[in-house]
Amino acid sequence: MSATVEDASTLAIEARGLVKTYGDLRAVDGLDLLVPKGIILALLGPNGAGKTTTVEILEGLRQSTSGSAKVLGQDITRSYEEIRQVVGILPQDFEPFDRLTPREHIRYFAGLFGRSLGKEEMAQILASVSLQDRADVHARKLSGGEKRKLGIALALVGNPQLVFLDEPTTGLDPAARRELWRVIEELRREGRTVVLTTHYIEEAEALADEVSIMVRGKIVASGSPASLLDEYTDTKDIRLVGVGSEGLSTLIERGLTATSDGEDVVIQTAATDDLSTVLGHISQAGLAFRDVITERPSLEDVFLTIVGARIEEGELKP
Amino acid sequence: MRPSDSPRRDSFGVQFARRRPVDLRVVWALLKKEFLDSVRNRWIIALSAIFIVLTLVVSYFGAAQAGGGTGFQGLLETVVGMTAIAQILIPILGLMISYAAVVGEKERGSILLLLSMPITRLETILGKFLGLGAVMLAAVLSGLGIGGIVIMAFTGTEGWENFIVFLLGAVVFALAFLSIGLLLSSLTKRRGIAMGLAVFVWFFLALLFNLVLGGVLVASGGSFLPVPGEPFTLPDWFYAAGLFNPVEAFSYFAVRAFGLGGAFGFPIELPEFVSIGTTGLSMALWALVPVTLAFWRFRRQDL
Ligand SMILES: Nc1ncnc2c1ncn2[C@@H]1O[C@H](COP(=O)(O)OP(=O)(O)OP(=O)(O)O)[C@@H](O)[C@H]1O
Ligand SMILES: [Mg+2]
Repeated sequence: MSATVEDASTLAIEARGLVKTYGDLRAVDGLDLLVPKGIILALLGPNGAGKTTTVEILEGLRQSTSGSAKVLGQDITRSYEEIRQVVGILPQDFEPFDRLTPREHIRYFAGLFGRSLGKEEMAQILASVSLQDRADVHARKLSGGEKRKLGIALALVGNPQLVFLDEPTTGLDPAARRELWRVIEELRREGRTVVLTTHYIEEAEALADEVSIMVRGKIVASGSPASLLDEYTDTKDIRLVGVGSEGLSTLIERGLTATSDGEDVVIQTAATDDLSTVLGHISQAGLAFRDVITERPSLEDVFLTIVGARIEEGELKP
Repeated sequence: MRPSDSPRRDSFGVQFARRRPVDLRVVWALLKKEFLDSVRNRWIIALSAIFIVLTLVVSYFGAAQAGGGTGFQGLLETVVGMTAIAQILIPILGLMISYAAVVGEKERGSILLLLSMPITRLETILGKFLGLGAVMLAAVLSGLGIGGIVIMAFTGTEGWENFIVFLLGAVVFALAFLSIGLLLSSLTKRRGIAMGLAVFVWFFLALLFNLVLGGVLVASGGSFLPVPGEPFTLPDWFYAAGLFNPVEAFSYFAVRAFGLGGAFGFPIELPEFVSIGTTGLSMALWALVPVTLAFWRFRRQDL
């Protein structure tokens, strides 16, 4: 990823050769990661890939077995306190305290920075995660999405430059997920760097500037969603809707690679092909069809290609 | 976890090797949160209420019926009942308030958030101990304190100094169980296990210990029955063993706080080494050592 961006002052994270072992298990296995400032990076991977372990090492909360990392220019093993001041985290499985309200939570965690928040600052934090209407409800009564928003608010009380969100939207319904996406995009707009882990490909696609796909403790692919698509997909399909089976033979006669799919015919082309030649063939064939759809493999297909068919929970665990 | 190669490093939060002085604002924030969280806990409210009501009932009826015993004798007779209640309920309250204090945060993932804040682990344990301690202080002082006032309304204020000493002892006794609970909480990985251990500790210290000691006494040819005509005593080792148990230490402390053992309705003389000093020291050690171990454990654990 961003191999061109090597200047330390523009990197939020610079990790080299990180390894974390638990007994014989290599939870993180020689991981390199460069994250430029100001972007959203999605660490995408199946269960047990080592995402949480990686972010906890980068947060300075877990000791790596070997390797080195700098976060915002500071060595994670030497600058614990400095890092605490500039990094905010949402732990995986974070549950707020049942009997405290969001406002009390925020006041408490701000107090741990030795700060007492003014009215305006409190209102601003609550608004940034759109919890202003639920600010005085005991956390026990908050919905899953509201609890996660509160978690993000708590990651923000120290006004961090770098925010780690470990599975911020797992278990939420689509509407709540989309709302959280807006909150996370807002963080980038404010100039913060965001590292989030997720199982959801569409989340990475919707939010992330950069995606790193992690399998078995290693990053196996990374880049922007678009560049990953370019790199890992070499086909592009053209679907002729309702063209019928006689259309198929006509197209094959003209030298196109095509298969039939119900009433439709799908023409396979190389991603690099000039589409106008293909379209020329189609129009010259004089076929009748209701619609033309070009289909590119999605990031999900890329993910499945990379991770193989082994994404089912458990299967990847050694 | 295997110990880390470098002994100076914690396996988690390595960099805590660098210390800084305790920041009182941070401790205060932690204290307030623990206090607020506990006083909104219905179980803790309910148990404190039971404690307060029971001590009130015992002190009221005890004092009203103290056989016309007014003055110091009346105070003594009623304090016996309060001590019995405190011996059972204060340990339960102390353990209940603290057993989840660390392990509960591990389970809800909030411990990571906590540790991602610019605070030290010493501040964390200190804040929790003081915040929960404040709740215990409030419960003990309102339970026993109001009870004491009720009693003195009947029997007069004679012996109030003794009562204050007794109250102080009860507070240390309460902190001892808070401290034990925090240790259990930092030793365990799951809330349920911490709770099981807490129940066991209570059962052992408040019930089993005495039974075992009594069994040993009888087996070694001793007896709980006074021999007519002779002053009743138990062997010194019996009391010495009791000093190691905060529950026993508290009851000896209560006896000593009000003077002689005989005052407690039993013709028992405590040996000289069972004094305010030694019983108080025992309870104080129980209040300090477990929480220190809890800190030590919490500081170097991989969560
Ligand atoms: N404290 C630990 N002790 C032993 N093994 C651990 C520990 N923490 C994590 N592991 C193991 O390390 C591997 C990576 O775990 P990790 O939690 O980092 O994965 P993940 O990518 O976050 O998975 P998920 O998507 O399920 O959250 C897993 O096999 C896990 O069982
Ligand atoms: Mg995880």
